Amino acid sequence: MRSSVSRLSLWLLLTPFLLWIVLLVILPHLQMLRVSFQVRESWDSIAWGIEQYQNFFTESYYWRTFVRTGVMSLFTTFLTLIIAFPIAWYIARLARGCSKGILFLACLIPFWASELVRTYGWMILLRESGLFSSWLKALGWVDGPVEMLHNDVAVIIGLVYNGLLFMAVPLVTTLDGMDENLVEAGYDLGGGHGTVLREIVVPWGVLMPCCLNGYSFGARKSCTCSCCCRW
Amino acid sequence: MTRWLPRTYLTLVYILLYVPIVVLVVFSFNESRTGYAWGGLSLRWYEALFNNRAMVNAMWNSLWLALSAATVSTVIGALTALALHRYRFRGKKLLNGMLFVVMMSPEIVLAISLLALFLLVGLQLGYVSLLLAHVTFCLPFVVITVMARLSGFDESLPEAARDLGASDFTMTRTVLIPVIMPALLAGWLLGFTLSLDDVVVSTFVGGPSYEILPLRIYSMVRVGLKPEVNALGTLLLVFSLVMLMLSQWILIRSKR
Repeated sequence: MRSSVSRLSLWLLLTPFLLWIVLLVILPHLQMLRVSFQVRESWDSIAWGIEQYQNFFTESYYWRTFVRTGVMSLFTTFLTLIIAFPIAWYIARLARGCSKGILFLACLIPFWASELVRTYGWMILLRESGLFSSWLKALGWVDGPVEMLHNDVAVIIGLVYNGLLFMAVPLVTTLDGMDENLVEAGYDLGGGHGTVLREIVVPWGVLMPCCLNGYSFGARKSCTCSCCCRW
Repeated sequence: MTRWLPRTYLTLVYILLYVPIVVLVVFSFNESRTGYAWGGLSLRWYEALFNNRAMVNAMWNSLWLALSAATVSTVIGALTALALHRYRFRGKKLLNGMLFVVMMSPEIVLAISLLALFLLVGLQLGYVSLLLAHVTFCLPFVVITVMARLSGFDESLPEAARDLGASDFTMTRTVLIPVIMPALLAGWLLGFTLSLDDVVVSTFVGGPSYEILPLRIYSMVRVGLKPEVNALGTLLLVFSLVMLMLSQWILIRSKR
């Protein structure tokens, strides 16, 4: 009796979720898969085939964009790591007491703003009639207005900026939990800064599962951000 | 050298972090229309913003959508988290894994697949399609927030309630719900901000019958310089800061 009651309540609790996952996650993906194998022969007849996939691989525009997105994603994730690591290191290992908390919080606050607002801020700075352009002109470095938006560098700036949080926060938490003795031992055994970084800190701080999490978050975000930046 | 180098680097990165946001806020109070010259302090862009009917309309639509999407996903998310926490059953690991897959998968894939489904069933793109899509990407975040709270939960409390003669229903109402309440609120706020923020999914599944704010902003800044957007961005910034501070405050207070 008891077990049948608990079985019933489990089903009641889980039904909305199961409906969600079947109807709004699995079904749409299956439909996407099905449509990808359909070929329109004429306005009212549809045949099965792999023509869409052939198009994708033969039309260089498609797979080039695809490869470009992947490369961009990897590159910006790497760049974000390079930029975020020293900050995370400073916050986690060097800063003490109050300044640690303040630095960490200061790193988080910009990301409480919406992504759209943040990216728009960069547009104000980088656009042809924007601040950077007019500053460069005032300094006499350029003659006319410079357009700094709508190019690869702008996309990378936007991606790195928006991805910084997802890199910095996991890095700070793992580096913070790192055993001080490990680093000391590295130096005691005669390792230089480079060796200690390579042999101890990187395997611990960068390859920890938590950071892989940050990594994949970065990659996921960057796929979506590129849409935002290339307005 | 070793002392000032890290500090300089840190200062530089922090400046870069804040520059776009500060510029946005400062220029929202700029009298002049240009994006680089300062023409004096004024609130004219805020006025222009609120006189823009389409904009105000989109704002209300967005708020209503975020409110309903957050509420629906919190209700479903809470039930799911309870089921995943309290019961052992076959396929539990699979469900857990799928949550993470949905959370990690690119938004654009989610958007295209949902659009394919909506077209298949002939659902008109508008409020309903947006709501379904927004619930879809909010739900995993809510479930994970509530599950995190439940995992630190003292298992002897429900036992004690049962030993004292409480029924399952009473136990849930008097013990379980108060414990997960902060996580529910935090999850709701998270869902609310996620929904208010989303551009990618809404671009695909939104329709002309129901215009929402992020898409409106997106289409405005594409055309050219629109100082109203600065004002709107500032308002959104203040709004999400308040919302997220509130959720942090609730979480911190509940940990004590």
